[in-house]
Amino acid sequence: MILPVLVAPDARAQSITAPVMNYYPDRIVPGTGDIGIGPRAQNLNPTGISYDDCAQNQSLQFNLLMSSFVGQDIQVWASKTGDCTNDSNRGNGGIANCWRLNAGSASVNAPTSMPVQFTLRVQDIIGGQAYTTLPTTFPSQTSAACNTQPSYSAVSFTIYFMAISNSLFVSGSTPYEYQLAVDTMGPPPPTGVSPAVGDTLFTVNWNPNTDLDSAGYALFLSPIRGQEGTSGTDASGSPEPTLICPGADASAGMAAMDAGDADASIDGASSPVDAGCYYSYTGGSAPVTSGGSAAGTCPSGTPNDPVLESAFVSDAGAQQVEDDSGEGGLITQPPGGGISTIPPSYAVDFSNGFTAAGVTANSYTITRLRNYTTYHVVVAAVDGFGNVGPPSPEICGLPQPVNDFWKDYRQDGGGAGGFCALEAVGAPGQSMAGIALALSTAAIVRRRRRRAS
Amino acid sequence: MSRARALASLAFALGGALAAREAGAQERQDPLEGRHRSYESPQHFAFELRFLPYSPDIDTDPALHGATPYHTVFGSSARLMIGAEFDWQALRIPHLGTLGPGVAIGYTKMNAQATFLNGQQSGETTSLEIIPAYAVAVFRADVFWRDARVPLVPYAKAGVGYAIWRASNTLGTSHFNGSTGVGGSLGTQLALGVSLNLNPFDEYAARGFDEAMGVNNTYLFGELMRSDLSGLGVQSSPLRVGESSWVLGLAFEF
Repeated sequence: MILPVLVAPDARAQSITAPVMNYYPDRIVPGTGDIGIGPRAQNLNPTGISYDDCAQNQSLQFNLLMSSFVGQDIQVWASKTGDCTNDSNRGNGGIANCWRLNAGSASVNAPTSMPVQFTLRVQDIIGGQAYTTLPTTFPSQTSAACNTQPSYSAVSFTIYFMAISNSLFVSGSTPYEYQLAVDTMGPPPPTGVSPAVGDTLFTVNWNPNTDLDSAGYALFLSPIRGQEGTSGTDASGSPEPTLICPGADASAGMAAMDAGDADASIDGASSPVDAGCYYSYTGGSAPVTSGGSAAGTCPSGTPNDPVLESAFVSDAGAQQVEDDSGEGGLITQPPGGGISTIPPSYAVDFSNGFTAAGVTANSYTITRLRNYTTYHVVVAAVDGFGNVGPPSPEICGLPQPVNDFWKDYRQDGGGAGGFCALEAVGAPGQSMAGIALALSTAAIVRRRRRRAS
Repeated sequence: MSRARALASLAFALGGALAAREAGAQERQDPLEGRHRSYESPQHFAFELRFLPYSPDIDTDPALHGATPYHTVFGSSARLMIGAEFDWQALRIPHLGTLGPGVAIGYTKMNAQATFLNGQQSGETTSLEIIPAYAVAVFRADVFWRDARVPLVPYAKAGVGYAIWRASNTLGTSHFNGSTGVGGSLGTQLALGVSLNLNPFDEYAARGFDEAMGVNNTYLFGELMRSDLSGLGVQSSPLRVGESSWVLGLAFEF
């Protein structure tokens, strides 16, 4: 296709520039307003867009300066790979190298410098990458656009603000191009997630990810630490989702009780290893599970302990054990592998964006838990944009008291402890003083002998 | 003999192979001085690197009434302890040896999986760290080496020992019924050993080591030691983290 040579109506070259260097657009969040450049999970990339940004339906607000416009249109296009100043990349019906954003003005007259504001929806910017052929119109994208990223790694977008006349780029004009790094897909979950429980603690181990996208891990715990309910609700009174944790191969600390136990100890074999736990989705059609099965039991055995007895009820029909105390929680994940919709309150130690920072982390111990409460954990990898990837298969564990060396020693009668366990007041002082005196005397005697010789 | 020579060379390499090479270079630059020079730097101190299997006597505490909490938790395998000793050879007794004070410190740690109340292994770790130290009088009978060129130096040590210990688990220092798993144990320290002087196996390197680093003698030693940290009669119920063991190590006199 031979394009007509464009000659700008005005000999002056149109230009669009940002008003300042290092310019970043403000972010507009529906219901919140202008949040400036916004909190970025990745400090080195303040221009980045994460799944959260997209899901929030953020808009980027550009304040640009235009000059030398005499009746030309100004249009805003976006692209991943193409040069949108090349008219063929914007050709209707052609390959969708560029897509027009829902912004722009026609017949702009700005012969001298004039500020103009553009507000671009993140979903529009991202969603265009799903076009296979360029449409004639560009409707507003929905939140589905947030799930269009084909890879785990971040994708670079360029936004073009440019002068257009008769659908052609005004030759000789100066467009303004803005680079965006977009990552709306969290990293894949780590493999080999396994539990290990102890006294009021739950250690989660996993195989570190090897992908380049992961920057750390997020752990989600149910029930929420400190909010273990006792009657089907959490501490705030909100009903907790039904626990589904049928398997025991990913469980720890599950101990069976024999009948007739009246004490609080557990005296049986641990539950057999059979099936894996799984989790449910709220937004997905099917659970993603690796080996998960509803046919298993978790934990096996019939708890008879007064504490445990109230915590578990065997659901024979489903071959599951449900936690009717409200201590179990649903750990959910939306389809598409985007950011998790697991309630943030389920995240463990997530104040800095990670539970365990660093892609090489392979273990985390959750402490201050309640013994004899079944906890459920999933692990998700987190990338540098703060995207939480899909969770691992759910694991469960039952923290309970342990006998460590010190406890054994003291229970057996050992009386040590402290640095001052001396027999009688004065005696040790005298002894130590005696030793010190003897050594000092020897040193003095030796020095005098030397002097004498 | 070749094996012993190799061992000696290895020991010298540990402390100053480079220095030995430099010294060798100096030898070559001064051929008139001869191989059997009598130069020897002053000798006042000794330093030992010590390696020993450690299995503390905790279960011998009468207060335990036969219970074996250490063995139950950590098993019967001894742990490696590494240590270092510094001696001041304050007094030289002619045609007998040296006598002086010495101090030492070591470190070892044992880990095991804690068990649930039902005996099943938990995911929690239980540990015991021991940092024993002692102050001793050291007598080294180097008369055999100095007067008869027999490269064996018997020695004896006697003094007091004090070990700092800490019992911990995954959450940190262990606690139980108000007691904290950290403390110190006092006792006696005795040792008998013999050192094999490695100098004769590589005199060239030994001389270089002395000239460059001031190390007069390098030894490989074996020792039988008894650390009885049962309170020395002044501590009511210490954690008996002492032991009887053999020790192997390298010693340097300088």
